[in-house]
Amino acid sequence: MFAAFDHNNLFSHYANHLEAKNTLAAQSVWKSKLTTEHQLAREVLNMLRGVPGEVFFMNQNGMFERQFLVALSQLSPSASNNSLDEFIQMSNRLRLIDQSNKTGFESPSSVYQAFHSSLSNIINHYRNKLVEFEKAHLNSKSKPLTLLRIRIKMREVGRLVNIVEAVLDKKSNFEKKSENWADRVTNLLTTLYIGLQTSQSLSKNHIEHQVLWDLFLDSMTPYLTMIESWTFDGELTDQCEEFFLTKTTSHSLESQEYWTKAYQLSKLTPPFLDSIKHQFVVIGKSINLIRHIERNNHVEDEELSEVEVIRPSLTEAFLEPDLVINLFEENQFIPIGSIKYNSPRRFKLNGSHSPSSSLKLSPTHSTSSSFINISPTNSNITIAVNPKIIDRNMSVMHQFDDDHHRLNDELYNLFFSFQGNIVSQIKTSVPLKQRPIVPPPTKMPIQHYMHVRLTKHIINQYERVGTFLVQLIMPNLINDICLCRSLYLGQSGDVMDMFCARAFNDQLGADRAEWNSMLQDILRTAIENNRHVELVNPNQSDQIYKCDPFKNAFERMSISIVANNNSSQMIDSIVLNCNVEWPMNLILHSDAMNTYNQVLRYNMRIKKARNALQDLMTNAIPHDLSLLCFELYHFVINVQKYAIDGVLEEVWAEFVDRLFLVGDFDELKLAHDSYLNKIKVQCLFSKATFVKSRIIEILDMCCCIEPDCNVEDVQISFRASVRLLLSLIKSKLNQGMHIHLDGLAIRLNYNHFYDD
Amino acid sequence: MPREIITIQAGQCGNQVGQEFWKQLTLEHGINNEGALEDYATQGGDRKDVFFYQADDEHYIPRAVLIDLEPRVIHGIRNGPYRRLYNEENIYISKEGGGAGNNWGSGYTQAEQVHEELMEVLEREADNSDSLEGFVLLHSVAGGTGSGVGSYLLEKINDRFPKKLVTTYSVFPSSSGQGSDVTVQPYNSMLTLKRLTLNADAVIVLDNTALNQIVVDRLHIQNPSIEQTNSLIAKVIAATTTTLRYPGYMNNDLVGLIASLVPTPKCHFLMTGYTPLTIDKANQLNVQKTSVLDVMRRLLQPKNIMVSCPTKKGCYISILNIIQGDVDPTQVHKSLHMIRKRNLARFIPWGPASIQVVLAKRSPYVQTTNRVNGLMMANHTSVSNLFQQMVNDFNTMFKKKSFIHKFDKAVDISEFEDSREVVCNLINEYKQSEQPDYVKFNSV
Repeated sequence: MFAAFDHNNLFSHYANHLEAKNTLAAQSVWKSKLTTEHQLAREVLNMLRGVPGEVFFMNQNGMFERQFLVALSQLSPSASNNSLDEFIQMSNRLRLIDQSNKTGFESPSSVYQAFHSSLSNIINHYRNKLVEFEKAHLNSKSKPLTLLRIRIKMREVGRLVNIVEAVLDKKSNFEKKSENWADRVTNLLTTLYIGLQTSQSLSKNHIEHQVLWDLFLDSMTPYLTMIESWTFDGELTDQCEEFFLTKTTSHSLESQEYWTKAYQLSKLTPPFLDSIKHQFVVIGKSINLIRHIERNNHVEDEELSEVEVIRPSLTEAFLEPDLVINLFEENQFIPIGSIKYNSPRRFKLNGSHSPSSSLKLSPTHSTSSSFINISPTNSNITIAVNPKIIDRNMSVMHQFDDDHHRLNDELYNLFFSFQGNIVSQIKTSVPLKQRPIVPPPTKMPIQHYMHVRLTKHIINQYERVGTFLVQLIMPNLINDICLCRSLYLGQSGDVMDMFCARAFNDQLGADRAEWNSMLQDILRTAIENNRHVELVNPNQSDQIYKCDPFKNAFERMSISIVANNNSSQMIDSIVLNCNVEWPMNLILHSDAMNTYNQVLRYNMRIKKARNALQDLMTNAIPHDLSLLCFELYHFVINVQKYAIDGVLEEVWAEFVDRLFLVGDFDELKLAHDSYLNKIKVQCLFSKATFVKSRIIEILDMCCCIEPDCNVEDVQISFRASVRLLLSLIKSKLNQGMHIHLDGLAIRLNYNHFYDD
Repeated sequence: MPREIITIQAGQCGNQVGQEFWKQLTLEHGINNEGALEDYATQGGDRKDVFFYQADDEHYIPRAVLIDLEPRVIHGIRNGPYRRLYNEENIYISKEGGGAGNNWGSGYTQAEQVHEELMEVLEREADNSDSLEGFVLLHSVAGGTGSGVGSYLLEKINDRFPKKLVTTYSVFPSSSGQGSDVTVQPYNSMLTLKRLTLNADAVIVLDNTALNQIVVDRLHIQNPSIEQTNSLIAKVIAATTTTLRYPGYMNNDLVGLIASLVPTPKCHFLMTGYTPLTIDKANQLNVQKTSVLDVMRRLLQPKNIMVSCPTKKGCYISILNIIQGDVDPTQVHKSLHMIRKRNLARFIPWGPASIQVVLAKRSPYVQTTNRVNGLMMANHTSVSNLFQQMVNDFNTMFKKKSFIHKFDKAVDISEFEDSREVVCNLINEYKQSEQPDYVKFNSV
């Protein structure tokens, strides 16, 4: 008969039934305030489900109270009332949780909404379990419905309430501390995650683990959408700023600030993403840069839309316990979801050598569909393509077959055939290990689960995107860096010798036009001399970047004279400007160009001293002056040698090694910044500037030598200056500072001539 | 931009060495024997225009002037595989074709007689250059044409092109004239040495004695052919010009090279050393381990130096090492430090001196078995021993006035004495440069 009634009205129906029969039992329940345990137990269960009854009514605050004392024949009044009080207390706690939970539905945060919704489901779930419990014992003669049984059953509910209350307590605590939704959400996920970590080690605490797991999983669902959108589209779909990554202000993609300032990490990061947060930020930014490069190179949208790929679903990967997911893994075909493809195709970044000695993004055909395939032969990426999908994801990474071969070639031409090209094949993918079978979440440590289901995919995507962007800009970047090395650092010594000789001999003043005309003349001549630079990947000798740094230098270089009309100080006011295109200018930024200019001016000073001495030495001059010039020349060329062999070449070799190991744009930027920083330090632009000042003084002294000078005076003064310089260096070396200056000291005083 | 250099090959030795030199240069720049760029020579990075210019059909022509008073060697070149490489207008053979008869005087006089013809060729070549830096003379000092014509040209180039640098690669005769059929070799050498002292900016001394010793002892070739010895010389000459042909941070011009090596106008006689020494593949069986330190240390060993002088005595005025190949720049400092610590080179006491190291690019078109190879150009005071030997040989003959009549028509007795005085002063200056008070030396 119970089956015919609504659960919530079960008790009243039953009471009506008894009353209708006018039995003694019914009289005893309702009139004399004496009750049977069976009846009371049913009312208790109703109360726990949030439904008031005869004994338990709901006060104005929505809390349960007992209407009158209850006497049970087999229990003492105090015992029975104490038991009932416990039930009331539990019901009220549940009710409080339920009430506060409902307010959470109105939260603007989708994660909060998901959390509260999940909590509501859990409470309902447990209430439904009480109904099942009631059903099970209602007509059972062997196990009748008793308060004791309810009490035992209540342990489970009590544990649930304790867990939920603890979570809500923490939640309300951090809500008080932070009004920022991103921090609140991070704190919530952190609380659940840490709770899971703790509970998984407590084997008997299954309920706690399950509750926390359910809450975590549900709360993660909207969060995963945000993660997925950033990881695969480079977009932040975070409407109420609850994500740990926020877009600060709308920096243009081409602005210097885009890479460094456009996106900001919150102070708090979910613990499962903490170790990869920087890689995570890089992914989306890299995707956006790649897309912008495509746009800048006029890859048409229509064409791009045909290159759509099925992207892996992180949400599916995360939530489906039975789904075998390792989206980027090699050696096998891995089905994802149930997507049907009209035109099954696979494309891969081919690892074999191409006959054209250039990067070839070549397609391969497949007979099966719905696969993400990682070629077993060469650990390269192969991704299934669905031409119908409009949502494009990393189109350039996933190339299409012969129908679209033309676009492949165009992409290649646009990205890789500027000044330089890649001779050998670039392998983009990352070799991965054999995929383990994913067990149900509760049996797997949460850290491992998060790694297998989430962070591993993010890291894979990071490695793919990061490497791709690096490879995309590498040829042009190398070209620009080589141009800077050739001109600013003086590696093209013949060009810069000519530049300096013309500058010094022609006595160019502050007229910018004069300087620019001279520069253009020299660059024109330099361009005529075909000079290729080859950069070989030290780790992969068949990967060779070739470039001709001077090819476009003519249009890009100009000189500014920063307001100084004094010809003796002219070198200090020269700024060589190089128009570096986007996105290379994100690496060769204004600070970097300032450092390059510092080195240029330093080189010019050295060359000026050298030229002055060479001019003197090639003329007929007295014997003592010849020897003085020889001595000064020794100083000048050794200062230059130190700068070249001791600093520029050594640091360059380190930089080249590092350049080919970078995995993303950030590392690329860091490698170049670090390269320039070392130059700055070792060429004494930023530290030990007193040593550099001494060197400059001596160089200036060399420039001032005249054929009729007093050789002895100059010699005494020069030697005193050199000795002072050497003693300064020695004292620093003795203190263990500026060890690199040891190279300079040895060169200047190789035959111990300046020893006291 | 390109600091062009015109190469003058005078006499039998000069032209034979020159032929090997151009062979080496064309090989290094990927130019075939007809002057066309090989298909594989696309890597660039070199400056071919220092030693070559391009014809209208873009084939490369050496900036070379070939002079000889007898036709044999040049005919050999004209009939050889490189016959189309040279500019025919730049080849001068005496119409008489009798040669200089191993007589400096004859060579000098014949050159004087065709002064205009020779200068016209040189001026045409100079005008053909945008920014001529100087001349390189390849010759020997013992014979007639190389020494006589070479001496004449040195004087005239100084007059006509006073601002241009003149470097010579001068092959000096074996000591005491061993194995030489030139009886007047001491006279020829003395008269040439005077011009080399006064009219050249730098002289790279290639001593036949040392060269023969290197080929026999180091390369284990018992009876070396002239081509084999000359190919060794050519390799050294090519290596000394590496920094001019493959631009880098420094030493991209002759003046920069010379300024760091030559302290005073006369002390400009430079020794060279090269390692690892190889001529052809047969000699590359014993491949050495080469690192920067290995190479720099070996370069200081007398057995690798192409002048037979006791470098353990005397002192280095300056050293320039050109290191090519697969070089880790961090090794340079370590090697310098090591050599200094072990006191492997003794330097002048009157001023600072050091080993300058230049890391130069190696031609990508020439395959070598060694990772690193190096060339040393050094100004060492013991080179004066070679000159002293020449003075001694000269004095022996001159005291008796032996064969002096052969020079009657061309050279006064006073010229011999003057030449000896110049050379003695040179020797004296080198000796003085070993002293701390060299600054007080009063050169004449």
